[in-house]
Order: sequence, then C-alpha cells, then structure tokens
Amino acid sequence: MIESAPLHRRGAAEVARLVATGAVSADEVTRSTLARIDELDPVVRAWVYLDRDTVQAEAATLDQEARSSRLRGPLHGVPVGIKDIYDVAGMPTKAGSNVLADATPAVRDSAPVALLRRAGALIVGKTATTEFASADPARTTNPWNTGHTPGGSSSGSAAAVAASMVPAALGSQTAGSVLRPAAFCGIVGFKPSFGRIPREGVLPYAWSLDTMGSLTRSVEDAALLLRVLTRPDWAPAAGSAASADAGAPRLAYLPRIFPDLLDRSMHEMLSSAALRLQTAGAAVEEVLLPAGFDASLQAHHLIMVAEAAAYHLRTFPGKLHLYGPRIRRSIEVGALVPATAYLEAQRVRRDIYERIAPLLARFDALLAPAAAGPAPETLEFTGDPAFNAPWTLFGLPAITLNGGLDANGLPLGLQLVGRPNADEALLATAAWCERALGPATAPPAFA
Amino acid sequence: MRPKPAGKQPLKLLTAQAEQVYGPQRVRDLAAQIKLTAAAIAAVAAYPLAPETEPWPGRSPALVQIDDSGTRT
Repeated sequence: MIESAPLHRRGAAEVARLVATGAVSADEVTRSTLARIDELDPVVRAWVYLDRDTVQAEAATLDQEARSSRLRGPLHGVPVGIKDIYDVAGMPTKAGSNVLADATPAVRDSAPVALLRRAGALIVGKTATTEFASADPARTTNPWNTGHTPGGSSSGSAAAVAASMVPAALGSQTAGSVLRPAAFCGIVGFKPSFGRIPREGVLPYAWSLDTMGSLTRSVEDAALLLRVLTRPDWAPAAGSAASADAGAPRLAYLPRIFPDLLDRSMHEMLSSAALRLQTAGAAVEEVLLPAGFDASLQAHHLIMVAEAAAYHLRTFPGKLHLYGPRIRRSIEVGALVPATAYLEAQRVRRDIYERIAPLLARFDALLAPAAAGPAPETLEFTGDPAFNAPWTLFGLPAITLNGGLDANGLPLGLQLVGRPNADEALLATAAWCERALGPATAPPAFA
Repeated sequence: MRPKPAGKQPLKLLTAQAEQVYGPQRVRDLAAQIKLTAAAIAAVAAYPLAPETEPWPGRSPALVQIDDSGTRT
C-alpha cells in the first residue's frame, strides 16, 4: 500500500500501525469509516445496523488509551463489520429474517466479537446476510457492478470490504458463504479449519458444517484476524505452523473439478493463474480428484438441510410462514431426510475425506476455482456454492484470492485449500501466491 | 363428500389441490427441492462404503494429522 493512499483504502494491519504510532487517531478512522458508509451504502446496501454514537464513544476511549501507551491489542482502532448472525451487545440479531424482525438487542457479545473487542477493534455495526445465512438473498449489491449479486451468505461483509467501507468484516461459511462472496467481490475470503474460531453466540445453520471466517483485502489482514479470533483452547496441529520465509509452494491444480458447472472465463483465469504461479517458482501439478468425489455435494446437501431443519423447527416453532421461500423449503424437506440417509451421508463424508487425505499431504495447497464464474447478473440469486462446499464438508482451511477480471470487468476468484488444521501454513502459501498474482484491486466506482 | 384417502388419489389431483392451497410457485419449488434431496439420498446410497466406515468425524479430524513428509499420524 502506498503511503498516499486514502485512509479508507488502508488495510487492517496498516490502520492498526497508524493508530499505534499516533499518526492517525481512532476517532479519525471512525469519522472516515462512517462518512464512507454514508456516501456509498445507499447504493451498496451492505449494512443493516449502525451504532454511530457507541462506535464514536468507543473510538474516544481507544484514543485515550493509546495516548497513555495502553494498546488493547493488534486491532486497536481498526473498524470491523459483523455479519448479522453474530450477537453484538446492544445490537439486535435479525439474520435477515422476518422470524427475528422484533429481536431485541443482544445482551452480550458472541465469542468472536468479544475477541475482536479485546484486541481493540471498533465494532461499527451489522452487515447484511442472506436469511439465516441460507439462500434467500439480502438487498446488497456488488460494488463491481450493482446489477450483480455480491454472493452470499456473507453478502454485506464482502461488499463493505470491497467498497472500502471497512478493512475487515466477519462472515461465516456452511457451504460457500465466505469464499464465494469474496470471489464475486474481488477480495480475500478466509475460512479457517472447522472449530478454529469459536461460534458461541452465533446463530447456527448446520452444526457440523458452520465455520466462522473473515473478509479482508489482503492475506496479511486475514492472518491478523485469525490470530485475534482463534479460540483460546485451540491446539495447533503438529507441523502446521507457517515458516516466516516459506518458499515457493507445491500446488495441486484442479482444473477439472465439476467441469459441467464451470464457466469458460473461470477456466481461462485459472489456467492463466496456474501458469503465472509456476513462472514465479511454484511447483504446479495437475491432479485428479478420487473417483466418487462428486458425492461430497450430495452428502453436504443432506447434512445441511437435515441439521437446518432440526435447529429451526425446534427453535422457532410455528413460524414457518415467516421464512423466505428458499430456506423454508430447505427446512421442510430437511425434516423429511431419514436418519439412515443422514448417517450414510456422514459415512460418505468420512470416506471421501480419507481418500483425499493422501493428496493433501503431498502439496501445500490445492488450487481450484472459488466459484463457477463471475458474479451472476441478478440480485435474486447469490450463486452456486458447489466449488466451496466439499472443503467446508471436510473442515479444511480455504482462502479466496482475486485471480483477475473477466471481459466485463468482474472479478474471478481462485481458491486455495490447505491441509487439515494447517491454517497458518495455508496463509503463508496464500501470501506467496498473492505476491505472485498481485494484490486485490478496488472496484473502479468505489476506489 | 368425503375425500378419498390421499394415497389413492392421482398425483395430478393432489398437485392441483396443493397449488390451490399453497400457490403454484411454492408447489413447484417444493417439488424441485424434494427431487434434489431424493437424488442426494440415492447418490449417497449408491456410494460404495466399507462396512467399517464410521460416520464423520469418527476419530476427530483434529486427530488425523498429516505431517510434512505426508505421514498420517
């Protein structure tokens, strides 16, 4: 980032450095953030709740502490957006649903928000989500072209970061809800290993799949957020720590994954990116996934709808008529999935994981599309999560990087998938690839 | 007149009744979701599984580590 870049274009790590050194105050950061939101959100519609008074008062407190050389942590003075399925004390959690239209403000922070506050983050407000993080879209538009979806379910978080309203936001992923919106919005979306970030105080979608993640504009910021958000009792995997001077990675290139779903522009971008990474020194080897891998999508579907039905029918009884059509039919049909089919799906999940484990062991990361193509031209559909769902199913860390633009100027995202629980190693690989491919750029109308 | 037992009514008649109650779009959407889910159940049932394969996670995935040499530990 060049020194002359406006404050709103600075990343989380850089804002933290500026506040820590006194070059910028948290109050200035807050004013810049709120002004940016006021200017752009009537078009982008990324935010569903802002608490101006509280965030400004919090900024004043942080400035006072900074002047006394008391920095809370590595996010001191950094504004962060929170997907509206996370509880934030004093703000209602409505999850984009009429079911929660009358929700009262949460009494306490969800665990990830509490970790952010402890690190000094400024909680600006709530970002729009598809209904209960499922498939009924939010009103959010894509900053690269407002006639296109930003993706979902973390729609507002991705759009807010892409439009440089905040440098970072929280998302969640049950199928492809962090990586796909990141791809459509041309930013970095990181889903660490299942369980790495705590989820107490976050509305569930499907318990055995839900993974908390982040939306940022750089891998450096994704790594910073992971350090802050890691659950206190997380035990790092042996041999998973990243080396600071990680060399050129070994990448398993997957150009043939779900070929019937893949857009030509995505295929071309992925080929070009693989070549650029190879030219930069990466060892890129084209590989095939084991036979039967496609069943991961069916297993994922059964597990997701059955778990969603179990949660929603018990938690919000008698309210089916208030749900949007997509999540409603998922709940209704999910309730019909036989227990034996659910357990068979969990066995298939286990078996496919065992089959891909040797492949994961040979490489630093898998290189695959982050989505079928660019953001679809609609606000009624948030895109197909098929390219992300298997990795969520297996609890593997995955990250989206911007691979370039298509002929219409829309971002195309590539996905790196890491080894089990090796989050830091994946981030090191992603940082190397980001340097080789170039950083995420801003949408022209929202630079 | 008492309706005939549901199981003996023709599918078309049931569908028409459902469309009157719920609207045609919702019936179509629900039918599509049922087909998708039925196909998923069939695909999972057809997947070859060894008898000893346990449901996920079996042993916790956190316990199935792969070190840098590719050895599962």
